[in-house]
Amino acid sequence: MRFKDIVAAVLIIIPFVFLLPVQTYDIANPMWGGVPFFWWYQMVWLVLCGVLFFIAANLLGRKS
Amino acid sequence: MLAIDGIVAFLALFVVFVFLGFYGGRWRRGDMSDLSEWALAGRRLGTGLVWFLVGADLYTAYTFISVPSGVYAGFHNLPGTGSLYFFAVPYVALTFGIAIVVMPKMWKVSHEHGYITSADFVRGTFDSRTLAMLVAVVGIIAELPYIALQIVGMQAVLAAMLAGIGDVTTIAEVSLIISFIVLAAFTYTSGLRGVTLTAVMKDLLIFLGIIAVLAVVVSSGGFGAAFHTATTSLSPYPGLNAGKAPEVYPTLPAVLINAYWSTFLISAVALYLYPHAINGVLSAQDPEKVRKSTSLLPFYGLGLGALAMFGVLAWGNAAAQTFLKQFPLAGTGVTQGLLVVPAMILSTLPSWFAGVALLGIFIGGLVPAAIMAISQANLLTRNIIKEFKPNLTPRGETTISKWASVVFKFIALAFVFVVASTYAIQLQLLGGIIIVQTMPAVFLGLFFRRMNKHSLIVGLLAGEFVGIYLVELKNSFGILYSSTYAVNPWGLLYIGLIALAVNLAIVAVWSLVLPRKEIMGVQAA
Repeated sequence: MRFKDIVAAVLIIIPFVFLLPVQTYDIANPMWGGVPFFWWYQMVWLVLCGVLFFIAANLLGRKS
Repeated sequence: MLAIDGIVAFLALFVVFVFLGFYGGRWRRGDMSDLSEWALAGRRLGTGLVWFLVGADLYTAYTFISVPSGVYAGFHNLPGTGSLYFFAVPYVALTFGIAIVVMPKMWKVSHEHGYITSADFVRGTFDSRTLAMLVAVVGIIAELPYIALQIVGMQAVLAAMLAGIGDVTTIAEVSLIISFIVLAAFTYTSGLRGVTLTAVMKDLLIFLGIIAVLAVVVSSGGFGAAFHTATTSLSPYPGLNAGKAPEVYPTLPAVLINAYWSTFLISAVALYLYPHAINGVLSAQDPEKVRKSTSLLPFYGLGLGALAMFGVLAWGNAAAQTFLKQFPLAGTGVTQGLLVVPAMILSTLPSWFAGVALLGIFIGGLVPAAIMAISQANLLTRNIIKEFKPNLTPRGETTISKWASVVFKFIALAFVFVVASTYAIQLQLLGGIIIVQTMPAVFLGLFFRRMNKHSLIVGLLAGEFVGIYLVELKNSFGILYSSTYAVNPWGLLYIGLIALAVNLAIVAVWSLVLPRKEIMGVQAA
């Protein structure tokens, strides 16, 4: 495996590591604009996943 | 009901939709008697179009009817459990992580060998007709309730638009039948090209609608007020905690934590196993473009998250509440939950704009239904009929696929008319359990070609058996109403996870423990 592939794999795994333990974010506070933490935290992860996966896709794509 | 200018806007845009559908056949013209031209748009779609096409698989009636309905009405209609259905957000976040690893590889292998379906791939890789036919049958069955669900969504839009008029049912049924005849006609002539153009229109309209509703909501108190109302108002369910506040709405009740992660994890694995998703990816021009455009799809999920939260917003919006109260909260037929998104549109936007947004949701059911029927048709022709009639010409293959896509749409339509809509949503969840059992053969098959084909067949059948058995057990072998969670020492767990675990265990033990010689023998055969 190339170093780039390993970095890409780590980037892809990160969201799974943060989202699978639901207990860690199943809380109401701190709220954001009146929205409980449980709801906005997962919305934030959508954005983070987009960023992480885009970097990973570029690393996986470049075949040298 | 929707005022006349709204209905005019709706109908005018429907005409544009039909035009795009037929025009698609002339666009980037190819030989429509060739299956890869008709079903894969000649494998020439660029990044942007694939984004919309795969996005079209994401924004289906599942997204704007089922998920908001669940968030609004809760699990088993229990107060305070609507948060369970927010699983759709982590599901969408994670599914693309899996897709960027698996799908470009799937594209490359398929392009090299001229595969059009996942069953083609399985047949080529494991040299097993039995396994390929099983994968095809599973794919066709799993798509049926998914198409039926699209129709339920379209019914909800019509019910919302026509609420207050006398005989809504007949008008709605006639409208649905007309829409499906039009859809079947342009899918037949234009294939995936027509669907792709309409997918772009659909997504643009849906996004416009979501943004407009959010703008109105945010300017009038926003999410904070809605969450406050939803969490402090009294339980609306007679008999179920009646009079008590749904105290756990802001978070997920602890008992549902295992149900939550198991559902989003299995759904994330399942999405790209659906024949329509694979069909979308294979229509792309270039695998690296697929990878990059897919990696950006989580951003697309923000709209899905917003729609899910409409289920909370609807509790806090007085006009929406007044509208929804006309319908029953639970039961069969069109319930309040199914109408959450149409109700929010009707009560926040001016009527002409509401007509535009509702059309977005209406064709948001039609477009995925077309893609799904195309992918079912390909499986039927290439992996089932062709196995029995090997001398089928390419032209004959395409003709059968075109007609099969018409037939599958009407089977789903009949299904909705015969079976209650609530039932269709439950069956869709069963569809997830069924399709995910093809994961070892299709996804793992891309990376581990040495797996024993017999282990894959037995694993798939065992997974299907365990999944269906547990669902039936949970529903006392009667009508599926809650269906998809099994009680166990750790609370509730999505049955799809248990069934896939059994399937994977069989494949792993059989393929790894058996003598290497035999595995090599299979490889050489």
